[in-house]
Amino acid sequence: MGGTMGQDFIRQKICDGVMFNAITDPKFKTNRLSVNLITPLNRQTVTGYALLPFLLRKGTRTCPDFTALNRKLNQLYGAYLGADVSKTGDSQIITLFIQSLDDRYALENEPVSAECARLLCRLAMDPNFVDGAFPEADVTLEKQNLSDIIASEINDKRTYAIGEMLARMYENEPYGLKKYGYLEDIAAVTPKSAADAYRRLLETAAVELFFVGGGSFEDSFAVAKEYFAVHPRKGEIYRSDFGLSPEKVREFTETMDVAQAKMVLGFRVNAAPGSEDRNPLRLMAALYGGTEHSLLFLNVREKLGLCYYCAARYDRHKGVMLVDSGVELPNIEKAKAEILRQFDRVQSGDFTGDDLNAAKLSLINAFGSVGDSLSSLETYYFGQVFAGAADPPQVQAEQLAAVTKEEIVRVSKLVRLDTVYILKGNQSAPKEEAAHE
Amino acid sequence: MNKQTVANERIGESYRKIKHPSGLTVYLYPMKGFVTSYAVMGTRYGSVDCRFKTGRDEDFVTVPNGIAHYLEHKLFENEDCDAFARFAKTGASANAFTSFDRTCYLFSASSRLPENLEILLDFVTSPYFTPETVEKERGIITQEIRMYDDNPDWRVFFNLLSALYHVNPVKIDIAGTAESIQKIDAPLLYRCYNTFYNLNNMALAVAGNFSEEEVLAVCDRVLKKAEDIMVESVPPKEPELPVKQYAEQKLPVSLPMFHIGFKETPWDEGGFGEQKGMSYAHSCAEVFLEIFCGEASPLYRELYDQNLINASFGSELMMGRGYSCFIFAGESKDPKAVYSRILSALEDYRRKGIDPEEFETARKAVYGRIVRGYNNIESTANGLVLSHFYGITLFSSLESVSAMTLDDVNALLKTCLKRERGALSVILPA
Repeated sequence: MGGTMGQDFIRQKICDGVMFNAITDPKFKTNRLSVNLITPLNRQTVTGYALLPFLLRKGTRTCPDFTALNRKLNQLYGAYLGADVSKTGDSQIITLFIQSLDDRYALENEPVSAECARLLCRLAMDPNFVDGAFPEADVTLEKQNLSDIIASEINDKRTYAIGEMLARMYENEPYGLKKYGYLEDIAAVTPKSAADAYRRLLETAAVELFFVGGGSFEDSFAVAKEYFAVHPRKGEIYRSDFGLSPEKVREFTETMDVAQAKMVLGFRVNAAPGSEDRNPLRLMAALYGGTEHSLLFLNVREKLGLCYYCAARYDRHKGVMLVDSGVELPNIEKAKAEILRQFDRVQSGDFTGDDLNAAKLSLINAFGSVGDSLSSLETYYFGQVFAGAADPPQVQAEQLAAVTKEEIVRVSKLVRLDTVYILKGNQSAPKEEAAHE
Repeated sequence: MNKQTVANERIGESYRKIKHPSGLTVYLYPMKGFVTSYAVMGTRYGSVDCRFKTGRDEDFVTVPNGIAHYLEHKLFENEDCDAFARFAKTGASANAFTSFDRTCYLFSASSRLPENLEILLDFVTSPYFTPETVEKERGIITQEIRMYDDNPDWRVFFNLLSALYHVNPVKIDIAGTAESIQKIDAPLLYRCYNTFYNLNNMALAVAGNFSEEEVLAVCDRVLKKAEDIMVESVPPKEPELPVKQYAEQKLPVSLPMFHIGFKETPWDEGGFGEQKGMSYAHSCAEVFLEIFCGEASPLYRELYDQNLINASFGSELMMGRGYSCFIFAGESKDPKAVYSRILSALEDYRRKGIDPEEFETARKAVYGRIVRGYNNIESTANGLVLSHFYGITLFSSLESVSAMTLDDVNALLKTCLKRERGALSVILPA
């Protein structure tokens, strides 16, 4: 029954600085290949690099027209080509990926996967340069698109509040930077400077390719080798700094025309990314606020009825724990006191064996399901690679199962509140109801 | 027990459809190599079901908006214990959702399927509401509604539906309003429960790693036979034309957001002309939208190059029980310009028809996307429940795309996406 038995994680070197990772399982009908360029977050380069995936997504030297490129994707059974930017620890990651139907399901036996791999590699490595620079029209449009993305951060208040809290908590530290960069730095980008940024990124980034899917990775590997083994690179995955305890808790409040206030609490975790404490910490955060059986859910939501969501999450790549909640403004202090009171309970061991067991079972269940989806497999193994490990999910599950209450209490003492951020409504502003009759 | 196998030779997949003696229809889709099992139990009951009766009732009753969703929240509590607390002992990840025309309860588990399934079937069939427990939930749901009040994507969507629909409850937020939920109490929840949570009105789907025997054994043990009570849910009669063709609201957003909608005659009321059923109409629409405004279309390129849309642009045909509408959504510095360009491009297609080569390419793309969906345990199980409520099979869209002709897609344009049935909803930056 166990499908994960066949899911070996294969990691091969293409050349210095470029690695190819593969997980295959015939149960999938899809293949997914991604190219990830990993580089340290830096205020000087973050915006210019954030523009690159969107510029690369526009076309290649061999297929410079955006519409023709998309038609080609439709001919490849609606292959999905994605471009995005993410942040893991103190690194910025520029990603291009393609997801397509496995060859077994093609109607005329077309080699869909190999063609998709070639298209993706061309987009990443053979851009549509005009006199050594990106086409001016593309740069103008994609600068606007990136501006829209950056500005639209305020649209989702929950994500916005988390971003603003992190920017304040990690002020003057790389982790506080926004992954898409800054509006004020976009204007200065030119077709030439974008091309220079591209060359510099390729020269310095750690390159990780991931193939996850139902087909064979051999064709994709051969194509990737052809494009990426051209010359070795210097890139290495950069290790994140981890937080030391704050002198005192800092509080920030921002006002916006919102109906519901948002509160985000940032805690520093004094444990190195990848340390032995990562699984006890993960479990501690789940017990505290990661499940429907957690202390936060049962008390802040179910018992006091103060909110719809109140959750804790631990980011092991950085060593930070966040708690966020949406509450009515008059209840903010009450909610904050309860959130902190529940954390005191964790630190003093005031929780039951059932509480701990529920958190364990929930995480073990999640690790047990990793092998059943392409995206969770990629996310999981990317996390392993990022932390310099290659353990299968079962190993994490076994380690979690063995964590004791004493360990939870011990690691919870590595965690200290650093920053509180509140986004509150401008209560005097009249509520806009124009759209309702 | 009536058991049948539903198979698709094209992709070599099949599932089982079983009418359980209790009245419940059970769908089983074992997926080789998967470790997880995912089960979803749904009832044909959503936010639009505000006016209904059973065969035993004399008259129709009208209930407050948001009650289906309120009921979903409350069903997790049973007399002696909370369903989440029971799942906490197995590790399964449980959840529920309410949509316009259905409510579903689900779990995903990498072990202990029979135990988890027993919890699911048991809590969904054991309501327990008291004035106190109903009251406690009001604060939590009010916060959920308030959260959506701040969500511009949600507001722009419901403002569109309010512009399109005069009386159909699809125009009201699924969770209701802070006012409407004040009127919800335990007796009303029981009335809705006893009407819609009849096993004959429900379906269970399990996908992933399990055996037919173990699922049926749990059903036999937990489910009691239910008499079919003939539920009738009748929405108020909806006029053909929209209420108004423009709506706007100001919220803290960066760029104006827009939803452009075209109200169609619902598929279950003879809409979509001579199309061959719901799934066929939906697939034709999907292929048309790919040709008309997908990333490979001239229209997408033109709007993008003129900086009138950005990468957030998308389109769909939303279809459910008693409502159907096309939606084009995105962000734009000038939503009115986008709307007017879409209207004129539709006229162009009506006049010139669709290019056969573009049709074939779009059809291939839609085919690939549908097959890729069969990878996923969650979407397979959810799709089975949805197909059941719409009287189609999980393979209907795949077959529709394979059988589709260019004429059918051109015919869609004759009856749908009419200018006089359109409306534009905009969120402007505050």
